[in-house]
Amino acid sequence: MDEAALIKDTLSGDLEAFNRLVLAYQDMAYNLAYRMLGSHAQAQDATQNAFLAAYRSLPGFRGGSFKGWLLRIVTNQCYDEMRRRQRRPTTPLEPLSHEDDEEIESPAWMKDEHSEDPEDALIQKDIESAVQHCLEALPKDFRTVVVMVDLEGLDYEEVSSAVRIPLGTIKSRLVRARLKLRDCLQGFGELFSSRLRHDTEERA
Amino acid sequence: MNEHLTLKQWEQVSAALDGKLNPKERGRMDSALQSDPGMKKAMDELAAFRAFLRSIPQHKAPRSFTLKTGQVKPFRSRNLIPIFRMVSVAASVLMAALFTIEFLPGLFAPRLAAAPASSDRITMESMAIAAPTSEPLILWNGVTSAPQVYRTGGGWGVGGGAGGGDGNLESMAIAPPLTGTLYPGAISEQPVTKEEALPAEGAEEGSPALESTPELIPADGGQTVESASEADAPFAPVANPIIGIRPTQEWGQAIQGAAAEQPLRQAPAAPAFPWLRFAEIGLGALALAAALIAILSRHQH
Repeated sequence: MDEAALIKDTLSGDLEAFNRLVLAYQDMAYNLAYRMLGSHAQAQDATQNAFLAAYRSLPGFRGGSFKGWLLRIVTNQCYDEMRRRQRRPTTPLEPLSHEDDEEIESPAWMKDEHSEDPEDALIQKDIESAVQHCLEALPKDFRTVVVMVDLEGLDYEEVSSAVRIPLGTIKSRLVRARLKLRDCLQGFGELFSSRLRHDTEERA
Repeated sequence: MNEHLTLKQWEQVSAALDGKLNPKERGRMDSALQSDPGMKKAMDELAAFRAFLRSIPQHKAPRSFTLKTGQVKPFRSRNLIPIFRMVSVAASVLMAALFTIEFLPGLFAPRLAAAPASSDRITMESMAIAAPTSEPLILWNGVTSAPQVYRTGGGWGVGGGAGGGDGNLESMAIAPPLTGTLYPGAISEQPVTKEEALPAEGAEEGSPALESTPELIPADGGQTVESASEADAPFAPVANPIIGIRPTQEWGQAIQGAAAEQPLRQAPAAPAFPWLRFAEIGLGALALAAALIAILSRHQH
């Protein structure tokens, strides 16, 4: 996909060219937003706002990594949402229905490609919840870096471009985030240990 | 967490895991891993944890986040913005050039002041040409018909004012005759004696005594006369005025006509190109409008 050509077409008035970029990056953007905010509904809002903001800011894009530039916008939207939550904490009027949970947390992505055991799926779900819980316990600066590097698979340079911090700071924040996350997950005891053993054996 | 490692060491381990060490640091890390079991264990633990995190499946977008036409306005072509920018710059440059033409002194002033200056020259030239026929500024007091050459003790002089020498007036030569207008009063009714023609003793040469309030003599009161050819009638009643000492009656009197005809320095004419001002204002407005349109268009997009 030629991003430069799509951006140029967008600036010439072709909205569909920008939508092609949206389709290419929406999974990554949504996943980042969810890991940062911990809520699917808020992650959707943040993702949609991020793409709207990216479209309006596109004339100001001066080249370089479009991915890093887009992730910066998504991160800023998440930070804005966090500040809004701190100023005006909200409580849902009605508890989320289990039906909604099932729709959002589609069994399709929960499915372990190596095993169709329902027990594994449940473990996977528990691990997901534990990881999200420990991520939300991290300071937001550490959380951003570890999500981008270890969960999104970005390079140090891409993270530096997205968050606008030097490489040395990224190294420092990343190691602290990893260690804190690891300490937090060890509190889940056997759940984490067994998964860790499973992964170690697979790699071996 | 392996407690015997410092945070700095953990940072090195983490960076080594991600391949972010320079060759020198990588060499130090390799030797540490070989020599320090604790370091090796820390590396293994962190590698496992990193793998665990990267194995967690990503959340797919629950819906499409593509933009609709109603949500945003498609960009219009920005080709006009550079054009407006160029127009603004060109108009500014032209306006600056016009200001330079108008206000730069000396370079273009003669062109603008050409009409009045040339008219001055014409007037002066016409005066010079008409000098033989127009009224001279200073009138020979004389009633002589020809310019007189005076021989003084030291040399020859033409015209009046010879205060030195023996005072004898002799008509020695005939200078080229001059014509001029006689002013009333310049010619005395009676022949003027030599003593009367000569300035009083002690008077400064060529400096008639001025009265306190000079009396104007109308320019048209005189009459043009031709010079007489009599060289031997130095004090003839009808004098041919030559430039020299004015008649004694007119000493101190200003001659009206000559001064009136000599044009004074004229006030500078009104600007010959009023359209210059309109052009400057128009270009300034155009530059400002084009710049504003370019800025607003850029902001809109």
